[in-house]
Amino acid sequence: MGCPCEIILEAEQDNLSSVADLAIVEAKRFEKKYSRYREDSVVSAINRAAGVESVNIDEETHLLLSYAETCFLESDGLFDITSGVLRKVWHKEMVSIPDTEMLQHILQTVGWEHVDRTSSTIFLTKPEMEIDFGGFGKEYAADAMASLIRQHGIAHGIVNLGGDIVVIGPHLSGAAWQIGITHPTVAGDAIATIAIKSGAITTSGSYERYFEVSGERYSHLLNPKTGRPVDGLLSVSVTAKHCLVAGSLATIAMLNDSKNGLAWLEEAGQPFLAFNKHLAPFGSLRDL
Amino acid sequence: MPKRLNSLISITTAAMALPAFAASPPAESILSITGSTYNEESISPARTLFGSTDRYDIDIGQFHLLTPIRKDWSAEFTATRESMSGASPWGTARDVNGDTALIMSGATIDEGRNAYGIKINRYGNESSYSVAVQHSRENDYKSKGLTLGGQWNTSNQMTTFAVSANYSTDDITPTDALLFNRIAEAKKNQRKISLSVTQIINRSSVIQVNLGYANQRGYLSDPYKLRDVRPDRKTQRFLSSKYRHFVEPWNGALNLDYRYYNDSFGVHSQTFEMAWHQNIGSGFRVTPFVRYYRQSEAEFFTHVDDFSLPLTIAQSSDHRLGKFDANTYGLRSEIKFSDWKVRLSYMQYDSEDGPDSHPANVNFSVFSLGLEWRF
Repeated sequence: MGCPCEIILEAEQDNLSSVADLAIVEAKRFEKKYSRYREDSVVSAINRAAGVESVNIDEETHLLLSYAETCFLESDGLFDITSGVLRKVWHKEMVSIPDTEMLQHILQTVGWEHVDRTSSTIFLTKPEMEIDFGGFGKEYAADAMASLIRQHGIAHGIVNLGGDIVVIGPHLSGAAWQIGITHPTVAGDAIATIAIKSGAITTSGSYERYFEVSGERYSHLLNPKTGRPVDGLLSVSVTAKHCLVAGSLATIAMLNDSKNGLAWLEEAGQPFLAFNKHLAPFGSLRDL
Repeated sequence: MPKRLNSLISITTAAMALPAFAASPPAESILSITGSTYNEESISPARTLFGSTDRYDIDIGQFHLLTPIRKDWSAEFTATRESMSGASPWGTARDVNGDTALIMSGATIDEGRNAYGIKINRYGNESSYSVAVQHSRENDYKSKGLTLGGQWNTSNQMTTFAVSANYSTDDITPTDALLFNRIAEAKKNQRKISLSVTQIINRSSVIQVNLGYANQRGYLSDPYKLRDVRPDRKTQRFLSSKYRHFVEPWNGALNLDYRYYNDSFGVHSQTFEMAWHQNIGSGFRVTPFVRYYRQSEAEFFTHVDDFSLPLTIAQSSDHRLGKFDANTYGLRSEIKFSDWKVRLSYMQYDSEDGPDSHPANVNFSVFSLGLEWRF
């Protein structure tokens, strides 16, 4: 998954490691199927056929794409799984920021509206277009793993995929898990600790999600409309019943400017903790 | 940014469609329209003493809308319209050979039924609650009902408990009461409670057990029969279980259902059903099914109406209170494209037939076509 992952399970029975193994198999299956870094993945096959032909997809892929489309519509086009190509011009090794002409050119290959799909096929209508599930795949995998673990009768534990955390249930003792929220600017530090017995929490925008060029700090989140890194909230943590929902709410908040990001979170109504550029905290989790 | 109260609902709904969330709360709006035609086979003229041998044909139209309202609520509306035509059994007598034969209603009856229902659901974190009202009206029958329901999941989401309680009251005003010496006006009411437990056994199996109890009071006889006298109280009990097993390599699921029922009239029945859901590709599903049903007769069931008995003694020759068994087989299919689903189904029901069986035992078929839209 390209991140530190941990599964902690507690139970009186002794099949814990085999259930954890099953969950890991599920995570690997998901990664193999949807990683854009793997040549044999479904996502790579779809991207290779961009501008050429449509690709047949199964129901799971269709539903994931439908989910991505819902996020696209609800975010007014800010959450766009075709925006990954912008990373070709915005990356750690770049010497100077891309010029307008270059951005205009690359933006022609960005836009969910250029995707033709049915329940069993997808066609990226422009050559060079790409999709990736980086914006929600890890969260979904965490939910899928937790659901699998619960189906095997285990009710105490957590799944943590690089900060996307699902609490399967409280400690065996009944106590809540103390989940640290990564400090937005200090590596390895927690800015707050939240007690959770069940549900999910995700954080978007921790320190490693930024890069610096010529002394300027840029978010790795890119606005699919302007083609530029977003300049809004510093970090957003959201809790929800499901990791996927929490993650998408947090990501969409981060894709907006600070004011609209906070308004989006207020309207969604899930508990959250957000920090603006000046490290001022907002949200209902602030008081914990 | 435009005001959008529904983002959380939309996103959650899209998430819940994903395989990892197989059994979770609300949904997007679902609108469906279904048309069905129900046809009973004609009665053998050899076993009819009097009246028409054409039995009921019913055309049924159904409308259903489920829509989320705000964050944790949804509303459901249903409407049903049925048009019936045909003749129904009035009673039984002995024919010249001493066998049971039917007396049917003479002319074809044409009538309609309209039914409406509204249900409000409230979803909590690990529970949901509902309130529903039902109303049904025919020219000679009116029914009103109220149902309350609750459902709770355990925190590990492996077990679900559900409770439902229903009260309904019916007004019966038979047509041509004076002409045929029928009761002019009657009432009955029913209280029903059911409990269920659903347990996820593992990734591919689920079992559900249901227990139910109902109690009816009032006029429980059939006012159109020449002589039909039933007790004015009836209690009903049932126990049912459902088992679902998904067979991954075949991309299909086995459904096994069993139901046991008995009531204070003395009817005991058992139903076994087996169905196989086969998914073909991503948008097509076919489900062949078979069902076997058998029941014992009510204590006061009689093959031939006895008009010499006083009206205080219970008796009924209604075939539905007799002993019989029945087989049903059919095929349901479902095709999905983007937000649309088309459902097509056919079933054939055959009840016991033979010289010793009740001449009114019915065979029928139901064909139905439905269209569903999610938005």
